[in-house]
Amino acid sequence: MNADDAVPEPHDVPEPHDVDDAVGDRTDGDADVDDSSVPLLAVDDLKTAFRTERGTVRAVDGVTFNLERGHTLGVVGESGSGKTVLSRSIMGLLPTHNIVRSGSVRFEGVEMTGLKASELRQFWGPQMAMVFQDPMTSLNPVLRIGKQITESLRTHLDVSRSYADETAVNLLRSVGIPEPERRMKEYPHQLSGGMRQRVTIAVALACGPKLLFADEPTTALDVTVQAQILDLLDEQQRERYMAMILVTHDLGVVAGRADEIAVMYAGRVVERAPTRTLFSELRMPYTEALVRSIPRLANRSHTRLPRDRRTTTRPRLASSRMSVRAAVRLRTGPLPRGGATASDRRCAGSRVPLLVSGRYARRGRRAGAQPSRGRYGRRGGLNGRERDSAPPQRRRATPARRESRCRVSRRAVGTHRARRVRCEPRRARGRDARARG
Amino acid sequence: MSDVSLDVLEGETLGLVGESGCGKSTTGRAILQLPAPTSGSVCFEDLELTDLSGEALRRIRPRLQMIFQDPISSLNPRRRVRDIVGEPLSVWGGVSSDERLRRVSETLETVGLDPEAALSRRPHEFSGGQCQRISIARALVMEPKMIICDEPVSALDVSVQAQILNLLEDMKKRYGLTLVFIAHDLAVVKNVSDRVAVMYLGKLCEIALSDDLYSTPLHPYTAALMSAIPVPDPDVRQTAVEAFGSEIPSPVTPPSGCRFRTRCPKAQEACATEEPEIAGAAPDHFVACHFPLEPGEIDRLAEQSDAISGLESLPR
Repeated sequence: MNADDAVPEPHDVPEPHDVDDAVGDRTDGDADVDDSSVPLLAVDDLKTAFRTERGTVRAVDGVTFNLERGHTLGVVGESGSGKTVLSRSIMGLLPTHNIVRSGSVRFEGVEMTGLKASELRQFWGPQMAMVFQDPMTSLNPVLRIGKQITESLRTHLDVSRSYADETAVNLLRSVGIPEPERRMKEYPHQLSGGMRQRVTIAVALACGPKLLFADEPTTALDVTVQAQILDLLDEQQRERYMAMILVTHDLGVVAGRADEIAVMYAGRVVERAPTRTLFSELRMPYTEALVRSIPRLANRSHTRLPRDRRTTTRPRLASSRMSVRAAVRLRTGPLPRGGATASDRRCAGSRVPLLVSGRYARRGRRAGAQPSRGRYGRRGGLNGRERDSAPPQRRRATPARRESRCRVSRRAVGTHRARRVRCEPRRARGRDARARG
Repeated sequence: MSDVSLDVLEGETLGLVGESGCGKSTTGRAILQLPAPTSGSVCFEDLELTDLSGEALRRIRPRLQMIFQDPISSLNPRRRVRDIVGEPLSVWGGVSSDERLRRVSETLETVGLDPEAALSRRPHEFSGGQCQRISIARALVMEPKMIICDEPVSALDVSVQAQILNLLEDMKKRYGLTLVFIAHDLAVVKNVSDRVAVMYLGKLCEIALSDDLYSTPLHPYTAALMSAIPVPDPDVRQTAVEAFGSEIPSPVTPPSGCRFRTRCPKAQEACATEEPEIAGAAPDHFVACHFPLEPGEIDRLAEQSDAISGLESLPR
């Protein structure tokens, strides 16, 4: 895919096989690769396990995905599903002891696994950066804000102190902090939670990273501030044409902002699809349960939230040799005979859980069943605005428009928009071994 | 907080919503006299709580309980669950140890924990959701009349949050409880409450039946708060209403007149000079605003802010 596309369509996600092949060919050969055809980030069968007294915790268990420049991947899962460890594994921010790692992470075609800390440091800052969950603890309480921003600038970019200061002031202004000159001299405790999170974003953006990890950036914040921070991330991402991995437990947070969503469960990606497809054709029972557990304003008060075995039982990660099938079964209970759900078909007997698909709409669901569109009553009022396929143009929902979109999405499901089903990453592993050889 | 007047009827759930720092937790604590409010009165079943002190106040406590936000830090990590949940019973005496164990087991069972497994374990062996169940059990074991839930689900995952909300509903029915439910997420509050009170900078903005509040919000702040909730639907574009472009002012020096005027899209001169009184706008619907929203006005405001954000957003 051409990275210079002006407006990436949400559906315009590369087909995994093709991209894999492209990467393989190029990295096997010389290092002088054409930037635009190599995905910014290629993660292949990444595994991270912690050795504990009780057994090995497989926190990330065979995750594979590619991320293009300027795209946003939403990683969603409950706590303990391995989403934070995934982003830390990719960045290489993990302890060195009692840990088992395998798989490959390629950033612009460069293999990152196996690099020493000093080599990794070249990546942190100018290439990839992270915004952490808790702005209270991720800033150093005894350093002035200015110092914390200029630190990485001075280290990585070899700029003068005055230039770094100037850049920091501009950064603070661009993340929406009033009176940035004064704030530069203040300490983190003098700012509110939302302001502090803006500062951590400024710190992460300082060296102009190509990839930003946002690890639950709004979980510690109020709903009102959350909207601001997410808008800010969105805006900065667009301006800098930066890729982003947005990690969260709230599907509502990623719904309007990610191009693609990966749902994690027990260390694995159990479903991955372009955002709109994921929500319009909820296929994986676990994703569905996650979505349904969110209380909605449109519901009458005292509406009971669905109590669901899929989200009430939790797999034990410790020493689990559990296949995803078992994990899903644990949550779903015995699946009905005859009307097997998509996940059953997909996961049964397979250690490859990834669903990047459109075919299930025809195969998995019971024959004749239409994928439901309006399962969650669309909201009116202030939020009743809709986004059509071209992102910057926002239009209000009219009943006619709603209706027409429903028809489109239904038609699309059956035919031309079917996405590829991902089957076999094993082959890739052998290839990596050869490449490292 | 100032000039907050509320009635909580027996058997109802009153939701208290607002941003952090708006005084909703302080209100909850003031009801329990933890600490006692600087001035004003809190009346519970014909008893004036602010007049009570020492032993008399202590005697009321079993009937008023509280559930805290952080389930893990609100439980003593060094004690076993049987002691944590049983402590109110041993403090209030009059129960033999067998009886105490029976009641603790019973309560644990009603909140969905297996007493056999849970009794002799310590909090760190439980997940966040289970810890919150333990705190609920601790509040319930004295069979109180009223429970103040101070952000009981804010620290939990969405899926666990759903379970705890359901549990609170069940417990309310089973024990005939009256709940004051404090949270910053309007969707969560609406889900459990009969009536909702919206607070801003220590003042009440609006009180209404929760379905009314959602269908016809009168205070611009309520409308803005609702717009900030993320919706799990990629076709709904979430935009913070213009009101939230700025930060919440300091509660130490609140703005004159209406406290929301600095962020209000409808603010006029009168808002800076006169403080709006809370008044009935419809049956069971009270609002403190000089220029409450009219039906359909939200859409116009939304369009305005849409137009503004439309100009700002550039194609990628």
